[in-house]
Parts: sequence; C-alpha cells; structure tokens
Amino acid sequence: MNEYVLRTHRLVKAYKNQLALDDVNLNIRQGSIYGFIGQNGAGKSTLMKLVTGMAFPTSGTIELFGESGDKELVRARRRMGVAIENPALFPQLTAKENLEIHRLQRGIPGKECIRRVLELVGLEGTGRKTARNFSLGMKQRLALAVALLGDPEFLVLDEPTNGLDPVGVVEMRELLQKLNRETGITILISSHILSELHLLASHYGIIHRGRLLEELTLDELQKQCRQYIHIKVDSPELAASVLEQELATTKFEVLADGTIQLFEHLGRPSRVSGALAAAGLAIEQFMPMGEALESYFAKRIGGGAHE
Amino acid sequence: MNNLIRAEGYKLLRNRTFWLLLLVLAAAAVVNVLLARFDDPNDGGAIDALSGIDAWTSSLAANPYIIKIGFGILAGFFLSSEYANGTMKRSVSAGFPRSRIIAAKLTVFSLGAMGAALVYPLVNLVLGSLVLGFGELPGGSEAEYIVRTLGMTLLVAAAFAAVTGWFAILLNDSGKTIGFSFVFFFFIDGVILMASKYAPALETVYDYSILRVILDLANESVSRGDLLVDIAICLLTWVAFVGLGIVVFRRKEIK
Repeated sequence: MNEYVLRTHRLVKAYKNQLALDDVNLNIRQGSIYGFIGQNGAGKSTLMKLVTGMAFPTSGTIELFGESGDKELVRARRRMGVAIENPALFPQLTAKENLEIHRLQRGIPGKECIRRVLELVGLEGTGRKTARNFSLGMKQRLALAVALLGDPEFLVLDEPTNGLDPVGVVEMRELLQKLNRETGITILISSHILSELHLLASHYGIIHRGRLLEELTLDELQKQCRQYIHIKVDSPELAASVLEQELATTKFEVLADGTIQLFEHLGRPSRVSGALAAAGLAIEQFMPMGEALESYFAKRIGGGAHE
Repeated sequence: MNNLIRAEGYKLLRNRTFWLLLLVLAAAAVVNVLLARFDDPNDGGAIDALSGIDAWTSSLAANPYIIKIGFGILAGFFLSSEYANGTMKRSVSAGFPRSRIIAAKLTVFSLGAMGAALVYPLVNLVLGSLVLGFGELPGGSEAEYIVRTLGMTLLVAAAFAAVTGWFAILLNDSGKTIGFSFVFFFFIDGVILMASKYAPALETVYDYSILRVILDLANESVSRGDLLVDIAICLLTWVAFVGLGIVVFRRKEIK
C-alpha cells in the first residue's frame, strides 16, 4: 500500500507572467487530514485544480495514489471526491437529482448511496426543493454529499465551511473527523477559519505567494506555537523592570496596548504574580496562553495575515 | 462512456430549456396548421397549406430558422451553463478522459437537437393530416419523400448541433454562445457568397457544407448521388466538429 495519497514534485503553474505555484513539493500521507493554509491568491485553489485535473501544470509532476502517468492519473481521480470553490450544482435540480447525475456518471450501483450521503450531511428532508433555493450553507453540504458519493478514499475540499453558520461549522468538522476516523479517508482541506483548521487537521501545509513554505504535523505545530503568560498591569514599565531585575528574564514582549507576553517561568506563574504584587503593581489580567495558529501563520509568512 | 452518456441524458431530460423549446415548437406547429385550416388564402390569408404533406413541406422550409436559433439557445443553456454553475469541474474531476466527457456531452446534445428539429415538421404533418387530410405530392412518392426529408432533417440537425456545441465549448458562456450562434448562422451564408466573388473556391466550399444542405432540405426531387453527398457532408461535419470539440476541451482549463 502506498504511504502517500498525494505527492507533488517541483510543481510549477504559471499564468502569463505570474507564477501561481512555484516549485511546490507537497506530501499528503494516507489517513491524514491535511490543512492547507494560505492567504487569498496564495495558490491553494490552483494546486487543488491541478490535482483534480481542472488545470494543467506548467512543469513538475503530480503523484496520486502512487500513479503519475497521464492516463493513470485520470483513473486515480475516480478514487477522489472533490468540492472546489463555489458549490458545483445544477441549480434547477433537487438534491437527489444532483446526486443521481453523479451516481450515473460514476456508475455507482443502487440508489441507496444517495439517501445515505444526504443523511450524512443533514439534507435528507429537502424533498422537491431545488438547489437554486438552498442557502449557501445547504449548497456547501450538498457539494460535500456529491464529493462523498461513491465512498472516495481522498477528499479535496476548498473552503467547505464558507457560508456555514457556527453550528454548521462544528457539524462539518465532526463529520470530517468521523469519516477520517471510521473509514480512514484522507482529506486535503483549505479554510480561512484557521482556528477551525487547528481543531481538525493532523498535518499542515503553509503556502504563500505560490511557494510551500512549510509542512508540519500537529505535534510539530504545537511545539512551534509558543506558550506565554499574558499579563496586564497598571504600569507596564515598572512590570518590565520587575521581570528583568526580580525574575532575571528578558524573554518577554511589551505590546503596544501595554500588555506583556512573558515566555519564561511558565511553570511557576505564582512566582511571577508574587513578584509583580510585591512591587505594588495592580494586576488586571494574568493568564497562561498559547500562540494561536493565526499568529504562527502570520509570523511564518512574514508579517500581518492580511496584505 | 455508457455512464457518461446516461448522466448527460439524465441532465438533458431535466433541462427546462429543452422542454420549453419542444413546447414552443409544438405550439408553433399547432398554430401553423390551425391558420392553414381557418385562414383562407383566397381572402387575404398567408398560409396556403392544403394538406398534411403541404404542411410538412412548408415546415421543412421553416426548419433552418428553428435549427439555427433553437440550437444556439439549447447549447447555451445545456452546455455552456455548466461552466457558469461549476458542474464542468465535477465532470473533469470524476476520473474520465476529457475526450470521452465532451464526446458524451456532444452526442447527447446532438440527440436532443435531432429530437427538437423533428417536433415542428412532425406536428405539422400529423395535425395537418388530421385537420386537412394527408394529401399527395404531384409525381412523387409521399412515403419516400417523408422518409428522406425526415432522415436528412435528423442528419442536418446533428451536424448543426455539433457546430453549435463546439461554439459552446469554445466560448464557455451561455450569453456568448447564444449571441455568437445567432450572428454566425444568420450572416455566414451572405458573407461566404459575397467573399466567393473574390475567392471562387469559397463557393465550392459552401456547396459542400451543411449551410447549403440545410437550404435543400425540402427539395422534392434529389438524385441518389446528391443525396449521398449530402449525407456524407452531414456525417463528416458531425465527426469533424466533435473532434474539434475534443481537441479544444482537452486543452481547456476549467476556471
């Protein structure tokens, strides 16, 4: 059995004078949930389009289920389920009819699978309502149902939580986790909600301006995300002096809003609070915190998360 | 390939534009026969069909307009709209060679177009025969004429569908496909005939194209040789434009 479901080797995609993907070497292990992180226009959708055969690489290779030849790649795509960008649906058809087209196309025997995926995504009660009249969240669910038809081994989802309400986002996460756990399905997913991705993915890839900056596992990400004590006192200058002199540390940052992030003495918070209190400081906020995926991502791409 | 054709057939049978087109054509044929029945040509009436076979012949003369206008609309809403609603992405990522995907689409589109091309003449013939009587052709076999013109209508419709389908694949957009098809099919005859004054070879090209064959659909007397040439023109046009569709679609990036 192949260890990797998807690998790309030196993948390049150029549009006229612009490089959409630059020398991308992506590795997605079987059974993993791969969170694909990047700003708008970073190259996430472009890579997904190359993998799913919607666009063609300028150079480099794509290896899907160990296959990289043109014909073999096309065949390997039958083992994938895909939902990229806006939900791809026939607006004048019902949920069942949309799924029936996909079932006929793929030659999936029996109609039982349609009922099953509709139940899975919570759309079993839509009846004669056409996709045109669905909310964006319902369309996203139906697009996921289409992708899940035929029990794919590899799911490619581009922003599947767009348009979902908070409950829908949680339900989507739980569904994907359940599928991954119970069927071992591999998932490549991009999302703007990084906190959600942090709760879902087991592996991460960070892409910026077409270049894959880093691939890391959840464990590696946890180590990279720095832990600190968040402190807010009435005099940040005096607090900085106390940290330097009483606790002999310079591993802290005083932020523009006057709050302090202390990266040392994490195991002894009472000593820190004691020293601050002994200096006569009024402690307004004092809590251990971890750097979020958003902060790590922003740092990794070199600055603010938005340009 | 069978799966793809079944899926495309399912889509066509649920395409509202297709059914609306059939309905409008059938209604137009009913109106045409009723006018022929009640609108007296001796009293200023415009329609002078006297029998079912007359209605059939006159409907064949009107069919080129139906084929040129109707197919553009159908191609726009059946083929091009798949780019707009994103379902083309679904098709190409489903694990089938692009050549088969587009061949299936164009095949089913051609079958649908053939069906649409028959509605107006058939309703005219059947309803005309019921209302006015079947009638007869002077000096000819009605059965042979009907079978030949019906067969040629099907072939011409398939050939025009392949051309219009190719426009749809090329243009990606319903509005562009419909607009371009209208402009192209309404002006191409005149443009070629005008240009043939400067390049006489174009007249020969025109004579061996579906643009000429469609105008000769209703001819009552056609030699066996000419008929075979017309059949070959239609079949080769269909094959050529499905082939061109495959060539274009294989290189096309789906946005």
